[in-house]
Amino acid sequence: MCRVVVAPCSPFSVSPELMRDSAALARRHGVRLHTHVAETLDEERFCLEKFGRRPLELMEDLGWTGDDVWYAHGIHLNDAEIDRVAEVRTGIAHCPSSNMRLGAGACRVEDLLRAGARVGLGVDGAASNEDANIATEAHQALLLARVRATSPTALDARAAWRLATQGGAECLGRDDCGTLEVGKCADIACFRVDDLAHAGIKDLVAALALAPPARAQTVIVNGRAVVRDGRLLTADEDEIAREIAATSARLAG
Amino acid sequence: MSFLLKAGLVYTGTREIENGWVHVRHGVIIEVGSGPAPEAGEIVDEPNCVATPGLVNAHDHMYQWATRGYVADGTLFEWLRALYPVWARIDADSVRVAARAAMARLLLCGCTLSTDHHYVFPHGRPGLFEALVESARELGLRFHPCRGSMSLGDSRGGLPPDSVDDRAPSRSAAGFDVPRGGRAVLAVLRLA
Repeated sequence: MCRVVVAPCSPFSVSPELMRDSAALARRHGVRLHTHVAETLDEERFCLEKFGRRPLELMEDLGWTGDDVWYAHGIHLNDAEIDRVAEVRTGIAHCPSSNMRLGAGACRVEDLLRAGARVGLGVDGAASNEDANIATEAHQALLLARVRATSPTALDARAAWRLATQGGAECLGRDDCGTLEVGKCADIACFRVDDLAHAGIKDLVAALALAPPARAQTVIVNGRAVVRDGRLLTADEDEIAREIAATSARLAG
Repeated sequence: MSFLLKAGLVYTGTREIENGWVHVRHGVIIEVGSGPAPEAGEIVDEPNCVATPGLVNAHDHMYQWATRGYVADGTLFEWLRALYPVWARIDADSVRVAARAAMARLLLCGCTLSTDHHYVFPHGRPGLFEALVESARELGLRFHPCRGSMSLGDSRGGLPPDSVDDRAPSRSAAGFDVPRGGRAVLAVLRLA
């Protein structure tokens, strides 16, 4: 239920030595590696000015490619870099809401998928999203890919849902998660489709990504129900809301 | 004891099964089908739902749940420069409260497996990584916590202020030799 990852923050907040040492450390212990790459053009300019390298070139130099690595964002990748990311089997966690909130750019999801890259979805921190709903990210990913490509075929609903499930599991190195098949972990989400937002939509799987994010009625993790009737069983949601309000006020100073 | 989930539609990721069911034992799927269901110790029936694989969150910074709404119209670098000094005030308690909020929201929206990338470790504030791991365990989320770090403070040409620079990076990860499962968690809890 818990696996640790080594993850220095980003090329503009971590020294090359630390990036290199972290990769060595992770590989010595057989754990995965994660960092931010190619999120903004400011980052690209920083890397070119300070290191004389584009962000992905820098990652290559530092030993930060391979199938044990996944990057957050991967927005500003050129054609050759997209092919390279796919070739080395490095994952990309696409975070459409955060990227749009910060005006960071639009990840070339359909190009990455066409090249054979592993792509999952992330909510990113709530300070650049204000939510944590992966179904929303699937919806946003579908719409953003179509805006970017000016094409309604850039990303279909089932492909978007795959990003939200199996694609993310591949980024995290979990071939035992992400699909409902015999032998896989019993991690299951049940979404209500009889409410006003979804009732009458014929293709219910497409509805999951096309229509507003559906209410999760029952959620099972590792064969155990943690959400029933849309309510959290393992903690008191109202108490959590009160605590986060108080903590946010305290940090605001 | 086995567990049976029935749903109006089961979407396995490749197949769509009307009036389908998923049979589970010891946390693992042992059968997927439709029609007459096998006997099980516990049955959950969701005829008005689509059952899909649990959603996976591949990037997050859960501590940020306590700093939502800042710099509503800024670029990444503008947003970071404004928030680093606020984040420098976090401690184990604020990380725990924020992580519980982030995880609750993830679970309530159908996420079953999440990572978290935590890279702010203010000097002299122990227990941040433990707070994340313990929160996931309490709430029942499958969890891949990332031990982050920052070492390029502004005095060395980086973006973050030196106050959040963490020159002893990923040290917490150095001590464990079992990359998965409970023993790894214990090792990290000891060393983080």
